[in-house]
Amino acid sequence: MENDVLLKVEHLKKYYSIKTSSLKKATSYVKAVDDISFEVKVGETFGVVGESGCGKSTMGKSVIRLIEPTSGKIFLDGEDFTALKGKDLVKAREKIKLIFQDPYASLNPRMTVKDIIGEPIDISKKYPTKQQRDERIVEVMKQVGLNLDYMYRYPHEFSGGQRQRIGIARAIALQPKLIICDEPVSALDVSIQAKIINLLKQLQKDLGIAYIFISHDLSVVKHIADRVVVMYLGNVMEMADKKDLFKNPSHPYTQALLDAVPKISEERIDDKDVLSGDVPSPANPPKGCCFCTRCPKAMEICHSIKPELIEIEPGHQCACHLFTNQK
Amino acid sequence: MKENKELLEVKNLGITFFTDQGALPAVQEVDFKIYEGETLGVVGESGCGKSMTALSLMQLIPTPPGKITSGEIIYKGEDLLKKSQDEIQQIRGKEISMIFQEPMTSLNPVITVGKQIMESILIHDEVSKEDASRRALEMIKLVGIPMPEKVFASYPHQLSGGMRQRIMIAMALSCQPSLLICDEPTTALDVTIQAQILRLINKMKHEMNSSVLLITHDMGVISEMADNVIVMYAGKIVEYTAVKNLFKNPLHPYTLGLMASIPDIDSDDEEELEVIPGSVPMLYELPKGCFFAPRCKYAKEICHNECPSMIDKGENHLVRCWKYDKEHGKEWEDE
Repeated sequence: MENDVLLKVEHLKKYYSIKTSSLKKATSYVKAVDDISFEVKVGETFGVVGESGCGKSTMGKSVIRLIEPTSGKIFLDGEDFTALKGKDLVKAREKIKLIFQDPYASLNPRMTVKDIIGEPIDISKKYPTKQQRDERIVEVMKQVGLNLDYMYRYPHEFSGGQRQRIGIARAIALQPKLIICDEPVSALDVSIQAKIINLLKQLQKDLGIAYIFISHDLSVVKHIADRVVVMYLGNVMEMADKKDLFKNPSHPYTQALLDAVPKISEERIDDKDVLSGDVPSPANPPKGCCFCTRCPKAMEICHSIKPELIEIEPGHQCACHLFTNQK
Repeated sequence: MKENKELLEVKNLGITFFTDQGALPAVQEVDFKIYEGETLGVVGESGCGKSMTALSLMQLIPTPPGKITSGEIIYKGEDLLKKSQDEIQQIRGKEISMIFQEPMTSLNPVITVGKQIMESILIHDEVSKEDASRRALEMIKLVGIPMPEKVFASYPHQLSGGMRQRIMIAMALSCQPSLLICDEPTTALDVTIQAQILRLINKMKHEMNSSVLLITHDMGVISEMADNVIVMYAGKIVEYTAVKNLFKNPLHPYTLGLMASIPDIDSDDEEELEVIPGSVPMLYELPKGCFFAPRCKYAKEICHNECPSMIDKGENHLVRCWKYDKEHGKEWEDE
């Protein structure tokens, strides 16, 4: 089993300090990501869901060290990714790539499609001659379904879906083992969203890439992921196989999230159970369980002691006092 | 619920944008009615003209380049398009008001939210400042905001997205409008907050006995909120029916395609999502005939040559597709 693990994250934390003045010591911290551990296996899709401000994007960017984590270890392919520096880090990043949410902001407007896709190739020097480089670009463009005539065009000439394809082409140019997809379809219309999801699934089948798929849209995550983690205010609330999580959601927050998703059904808005209140500010999270202020099942203990993430069934972890009591 | 009394009727509405690329028809041949107490949903992808239709009701279309080129908008028996700007000003915000998608950009950042709510009350009703501020505070309470006195004196940036949208609703409803237009009211919000806001809109609708025109791209929201639904594509209405009927028996190939491409949270299907080939045509390259024909798997010769008109399938179900035409529909019968 150990060989299957592609990425192992241990106790990842990212704290941002809040300072009253740049010369003073930090008065408090925003715990954007607070002690998260997980594994991603070769070729699987690991879904991350949560509402805005729950730390899911920070988590994704910390894994690739675009944001330097405060503490914690990341092992990529058995190698300690957190200890790498300089050239070694650049080399290791060939294996792990990122696709961004906004296809309008993540492509350089002054570069042609060919140069955008070619940039990682140039940096890695994996395809040294010009001919090899061009061949690889053509190959990648075919894989993501981009018309080869578009090679010398600029990003502004494309629609959102096409731009996202360019971003995907850039990500797969160096045959990475893991791609972090940060809300890759949220900015797209539903019919285009379906095309991009199908493309990501196809690429996974053909190339054996693992994904960390970050999204706020539960139905998309359900469609694409193998395992899912639910985050709230920087903490893991529940982590399980997709089937388990959606069939048997254990954490009250997961249940509330699933209830809140608008569905095509007979149910009208007035028939629904709606979670009250707002997400608390991450700078000033509630004491005890961070969900206790909105939780319909909150008990006394929830307001004082933070629940540990425990295994309630094999492969199904949940951080809630409803289950700590049973043990 | 349905009193069947018409509040607003739009007849043959056309909006054209005059640009360097020529006259672009953003909205064409749009007809619909809103009844009292009804929630009418408008669904479609970006660029289908749903927001433009809504803006035209309040005559807020950016002019130039946009212009209403044809049609009538009959509100309580009077054609809004024939009214002067001053008269429209009286209706806008009082009779018909609107909630926008992005509550941060539609609130004034340098004025407290309480004052902003007071503003519309003072414009439309002859009341003293004290009365207006009392009513504004009442509205803030009514939309379920905790600590209303504190929020009254807050600036928009001090509030969360959900709170801002509640303020927008309070402002829109402060003069008890008969029609509330909601343009993607929850798109920028998280799902749990979205559910709160949708429920609030519904509650306020019942309390004030107004009608709602709800614009969204989310079929799930339509299913939970709307009574009747309009599906739009490339500036035209392609289907109109009651909400239950739309999901049970969708007729137009575009509606069918749209529904198939949404991942279903209740199914365990892992198969590929169905997609509609191609993409929405640009306004300067609209195809001849039915606008959806180049992407439609049922398209036949006639579809590429002539645009169908709305065909009444009975039971309050209208569809713009040759397949359901009495004469031409025969061509599809063998399939």
